[in-house]
Amino acid sequence: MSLKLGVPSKGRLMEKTFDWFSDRKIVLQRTGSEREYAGAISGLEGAELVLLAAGEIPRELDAGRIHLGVTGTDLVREKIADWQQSVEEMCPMGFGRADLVLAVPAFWVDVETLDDLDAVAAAFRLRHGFRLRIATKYHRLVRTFLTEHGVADYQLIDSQGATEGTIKNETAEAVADITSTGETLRANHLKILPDGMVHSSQATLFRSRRAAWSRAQLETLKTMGRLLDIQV
Amino acid sequence: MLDRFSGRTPPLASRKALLGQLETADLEEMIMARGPEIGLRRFSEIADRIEALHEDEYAPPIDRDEVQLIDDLLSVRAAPLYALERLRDLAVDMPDIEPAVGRLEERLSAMAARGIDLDLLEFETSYGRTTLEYYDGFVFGFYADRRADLPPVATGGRYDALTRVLGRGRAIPAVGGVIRPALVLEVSR
Repeated sequence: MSLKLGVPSKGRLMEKTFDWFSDRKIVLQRTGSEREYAGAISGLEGAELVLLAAGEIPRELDAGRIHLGVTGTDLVREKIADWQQSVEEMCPMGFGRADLVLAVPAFWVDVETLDDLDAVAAAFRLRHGFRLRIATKYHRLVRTFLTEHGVADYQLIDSQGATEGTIKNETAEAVADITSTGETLRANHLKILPDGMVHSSQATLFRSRRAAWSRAQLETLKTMGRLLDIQV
Repeated sequence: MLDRFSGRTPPLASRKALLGQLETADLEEMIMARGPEIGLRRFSEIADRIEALHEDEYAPPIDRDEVQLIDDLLSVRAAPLYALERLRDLAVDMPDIEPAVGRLEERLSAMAARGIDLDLLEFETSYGRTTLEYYDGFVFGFYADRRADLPPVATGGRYDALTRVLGRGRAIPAVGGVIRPALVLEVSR
């Protein structure tokens, strides 16, 4: 059985991943037709390429169906409960950067910190009879972050897209969303809380702790570690 | 929050700046300059909060001795009977906690009467303050010996305020908890 490496199957993330590995003498390739998602690795004996949707990679690592995988640190923390038990970060890759931030309406002059947000959430609940709503796709990350920072009296509203618009539509009072420049948030009259950086993510090579590792697979991992110049 | 209201930490720079600006500027104009009024939280709510911030600014800090007592109270963590002793000592300076200390004493004797070995338990005043959201009375957690790395196998407690809120005035005493099956399996292996 060969070592299975899972990488994103399309788009910029796939291209950047291929470039990153080929810079390190491991050449990844898609084979077959566009739809087939088959791949090949040259430059590393005993390894097999598995092309997957980026969002599926954390689950596959967690299930131990792949040995290594490339995905964002945000997705790993969001999709795997107790992620440190299932996977290990081997190497940050320096691309695919995205920040998960908390943002509130720009006209809230009285809210500059998480401490303010906590106070406002309590007052909001008293006035409106329900908890201040924060729209997000990243429930686990946001909940953990707010608990750590002592913000209570809020509720998370699920939003799988166009999250910035939820405040104007009055389905949420604040948002926690992915951004790289903050442009979209500003265009929607929102401001980022300076201490509201929930998580700063980038593409990272992960190793599964759940996968069964044979002697041969561990050897392949060592060879790969030498090529990538990382500790394994 | 306690640190801020007792003057142990300095006031937030951003808040000082905001209140400073408002001494000369008009709140409505300032808000308009930042962006349109969007969402359910309205202009009037911001004005109310600014008012509250002004009041906080002029309120005297909470007395240091009082803050120390609260800190002492929240750091009690010991075998139940020792903890009870410590709480009785604190109650001399903090008569407000006397009824709660009395209830703890009754609860401990009730547990002992049912054959529970109190020496195997640990009492912690601040247990669950940050994680057991809607619980508002006595709370508990069960941990696996020798597996300090795992979260509690079971947690629970009293949540009387919850039924009061849901019941809109009507209330019933409530107690409940959760047992995590995956952890039970893991520790019984």
